[in-house]
This record gives sequence, C-alpha cells and structure tokens, in this order.
Amino acid sequence: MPVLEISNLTKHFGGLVAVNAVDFSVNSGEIVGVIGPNGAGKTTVFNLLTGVYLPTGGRILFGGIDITGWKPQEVVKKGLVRTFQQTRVLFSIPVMENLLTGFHCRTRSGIWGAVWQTGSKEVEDRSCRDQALEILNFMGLLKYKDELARNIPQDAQRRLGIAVAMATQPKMFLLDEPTVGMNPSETQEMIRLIGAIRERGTTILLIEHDMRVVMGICQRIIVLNYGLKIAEGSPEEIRKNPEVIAAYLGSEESA
Amino acid sequence: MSSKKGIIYLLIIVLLFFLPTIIKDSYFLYMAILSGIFVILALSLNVIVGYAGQMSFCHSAFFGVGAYTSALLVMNLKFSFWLALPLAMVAALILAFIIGYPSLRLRGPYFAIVTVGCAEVVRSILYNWVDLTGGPMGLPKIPPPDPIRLGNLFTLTFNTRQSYYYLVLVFVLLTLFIIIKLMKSKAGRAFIAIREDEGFARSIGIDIKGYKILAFAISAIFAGMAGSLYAHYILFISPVSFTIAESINVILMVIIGGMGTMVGPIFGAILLTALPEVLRAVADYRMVLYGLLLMLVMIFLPGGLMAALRAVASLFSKGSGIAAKGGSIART
Repeated sequence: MPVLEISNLTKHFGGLVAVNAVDFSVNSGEIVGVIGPNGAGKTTVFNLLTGVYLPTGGRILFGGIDITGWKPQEVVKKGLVRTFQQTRVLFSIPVMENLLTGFHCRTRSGIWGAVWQTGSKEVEDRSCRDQALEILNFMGLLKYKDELARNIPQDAQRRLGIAVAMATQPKMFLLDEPTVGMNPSETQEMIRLIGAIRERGTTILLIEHDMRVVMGICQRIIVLNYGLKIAEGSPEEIRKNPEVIAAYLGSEESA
Repeated sequence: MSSKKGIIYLLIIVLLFFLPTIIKDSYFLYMAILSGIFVILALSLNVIVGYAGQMSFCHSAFFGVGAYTSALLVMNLKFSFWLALPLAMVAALILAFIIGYPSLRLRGPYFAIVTVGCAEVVRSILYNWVDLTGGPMGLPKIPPPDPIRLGNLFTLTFNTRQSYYYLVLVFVLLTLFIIIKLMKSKAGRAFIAIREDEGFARSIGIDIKGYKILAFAISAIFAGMAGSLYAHYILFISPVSFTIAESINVILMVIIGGMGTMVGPIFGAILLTALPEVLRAVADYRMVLYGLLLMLVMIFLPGGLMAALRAVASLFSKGSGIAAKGGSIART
C-alpha cells in the first residue's frame, strides 16, 4: 500500500527546471533510496514534499490525502518529516531540551495551561519526558542527555538531529544524506539505526551518495538526473542500468 | 539545589516587600519604582529579542501607546485606572499585530529596520496629533490610580511613593511569573528553536510566523502595562519619553544583563536605571559611558552579566562541579 505517491511533480526556478515531471511512490514499511549526481534535484524534491517550496506542477499524496501546497508545519503534523544533510540541531540548549522541542506538534497544552499549570499539562509533560528518554536511549544518546548539544561529538549531533525528528512521531522519514562525512564505523552504526527506525514502523525515503549504504539497505532505488527520473528498480537492476552508469560516470558522447 | 535557589528567591522577594520600611529615603523609592517599570520593559523585550531572537526597536512604541492609552482613557473618558491598565495592554497588543503581521515574515536585520520605522511613526503620531495627545507639550496632570476600597473598612490609595512601590512590585512579580511559565512551555521552546535555527524549527513542525507574532504580542502586552504604570506614576507624559533612544536603552538592559535569561534583564534594568544617577557628576558623559559599557560587555562578556556570574559561581563551586565543567570543555 503506498504511503507516498507523487505524480508529475515539477519545480521551476525562473528558467531552470529543477524537478521535471517526476513520478514515484513509496510503500508502507519500505526503505527507498533517491540517488543522482550533484544538482540532480534530490534535495529540491525533499523541499517540495515538506512544503518548503510550492510545486510548479504535480500532486503529492501522503496517506491518500493530497498535501500539495500544505504549509510545512501541517505536513509535519500529518507525519511526513525530514532531516538535513548538514548537522542541524539546537546547539545552545541541552540534548534533553532538544528532544522536548521535537514534541512541539504533538502537544496540546497552550498558553493558559502553561501559566496556570493545569493537570493535563503535567500529565502531558511527563509523557513527553518518558518518550524523550526512550528515543534518546534508542539513538544511543542517553549519556549526553544533560549536555549542551554543541558539546557532544559530531556523530552524536547527527543522531540527535534524527532523534529530534523522531520526537515529532513521523509516519514517514525523509533522510537527507544521513551518513555524509562519517567514518566507516559511524556509517555502519547509522545503517543499523536506519534499519531499526524502519522496524519501529516508520517508512523511509533516503537521499544518499554512499553507494554501500544505498545498495545495502534500500529495497528500491530511484535515480534522478537533471530533474528527471531516469531509472527506478532494485539495487541489482540499478547497478546494471546503462543510463545510470552514464549519468554517474559520463557516457562516451559527453566525455 | 533547586530548593536552595527557591529559598534565595523567596528571601529576595520578602526583602523587596520590606525595603520601603528599611530605606525610607524618598528619592531611593522613586528610583526603585522606576527600576521596577524598566524591569517589566526589559523582561518583556527579552521575550522577542532574547528568546525568539528577533531584534526589535519598537518597544518604546508599545510603552508609549500603553502610557497614552491609559492616561487618555482616565483623563478624557473618566475610566478607572483598573480598567485603563488592561485596555492599555490591549492597545499595545493591537499595535503589535499591526506591526508584526506584515513585518515578521522578514528575517533578522530587515525586521529590525522595520521596527525602527514603526517606532518613529508612533512617536511622530504622538508628537503631531496635538488635539488628542497634546503634541510636544505632552499630557500633564494625569491622576494617580484610583484607590481600592473594600467596603468602609479598608482603603488602599496609590498617591504615595510607598504605596506605588508596592503596586509596581506586584506587577513586576506578576510579569516575572507569567513570563517564566511561558518560556518553560511549548511556546518558549518554540521561540528558542526559532532563534537557534529557523529552518530546523520549521522541519519539526513549528509555525515560524505564528510563534514570532506570539512572541511579539507577549512582549507588547507587558510593555503596554509598563506604559500605564509609568504614566500614572510620573503623572506627566510627552513624546520625548518614547523615542527610539528609549528602545535602545531597554535593548542595552537586556544585552548587558544577559539575553535569553530570566534574571539577566532584571539586573540590566536596575543597573542602567541606577547608573545615570550614580554617574550624576558626569551626567553629560552618560551616553558615552553607556556605549563604553556595552562595548566592554560584548567583548569580554558576550553572554552578559549572567554569564559572568555563572562563570564566577562555577569557580567557587566544589571540585565535582569543576571536574564536570572541565569534562564538557574537553569534549568541545
């Protein structure tokens, strides 16, 4: 059953066609990879899916609902959440506070609850705290819980970025190059975590440059080049696809 | 640890309640009341500048609109002060929406520049709408707050410095209480996330514009309250009190005290209200010293006085504390 279906998705920046009539779908529980050379439009697709950019054309269905043109916060609330290629967390506050901020769209207590400390707010606070500890434990960050985010190691910051996104309770994750700049053992750990996140019932769409990662964990791969989808298939099929090879290595004519 | 802190804060509050009986000097009380009003201004500006990270120069406009609204309602329409005060807050809130709604989609310096313009527009209106505001002549003879009567038994008047001190103290504590609670809530976390990284905040489902407007609105409401308290204390207001220089003064209080902390702006407000009096001998150089102080704080104490205090406190704390600190430094 498809969680995400995009059809004819197009984005123009002035005269540049960054994403050109791309179609694909992602089934519930899958890990799907999006690959392509630099400038292929991968990150633009993410920005379109999360409502940061308004598509020039096309439709995005998430969980059977048309979310095209929704605001970013509405998309997150629906359960479609992204992470970033760069390390992005709230550096100047403690790790635990980072996590609690992640629960933003899942909490109800408003201004009055905060000022008068209503009972429902206390129940909600406690439940957020418990869930935050569980996520920190899952991501191997429990020992850093009271440290400022800027004082923890780089690879822990990367995991923290994903942990905060997990606190929003996504149905589907868009991971933008989660292993970029990591050493082999850190990469292995991240691959294990991505698998474990999928086990928790979150569908994953992954942008990745590291072929070992893509070929290792993705069930299906979508290849973009110059904004066009040029191939889609299993890792085996993609590895042998002449168009993909040409896009990555340069074809005879262009060379 | 936190219960120890609680006892210290409770002691400070008790001390503040007995202060007028300890120091009976009338000039001292005048300065204490003025400090209290500026504490409210600094605490409220800190919400938008320190927590949400948006530099705003139109705090003087909210302060001024609060002061004029309250004074005019009481003088022209014979409203009670106790009704005029909340209406002054509402007027500042409405102004915050008018300024904030179109301008808070701008980022960083662009928003700051718009607020400079808005502060000047409001000052010009106060200056030029002579029929209503008295223009440059200001509004004299504003009455003090109406007394509170409980039957015939008990009457609380606010025409002495001592009684006004208690009035302001209650409002300072109320402001502090509400702002502390708000900053520890979902909204406070959203403000900090926006300050730290807007793109990241958006990615976890925070409505950037909505929360910026909320921060601006909270900030304006309390500035309006401070305006009303100011008008009915000084009993004379004129546009001179509500210029951009006044906004900058409050910004200095927040920065020198420590942006994004609760205690910092309180220190900053008291220090910068008292300092010109202490430096009365060199009054002409007041702004020079202000500038110098700001420069020194930015160079040597970028986190403000609060960061300096914390650093000193950690030097004096026991070995384990230092070890923990050292550990966290070693990791960076």
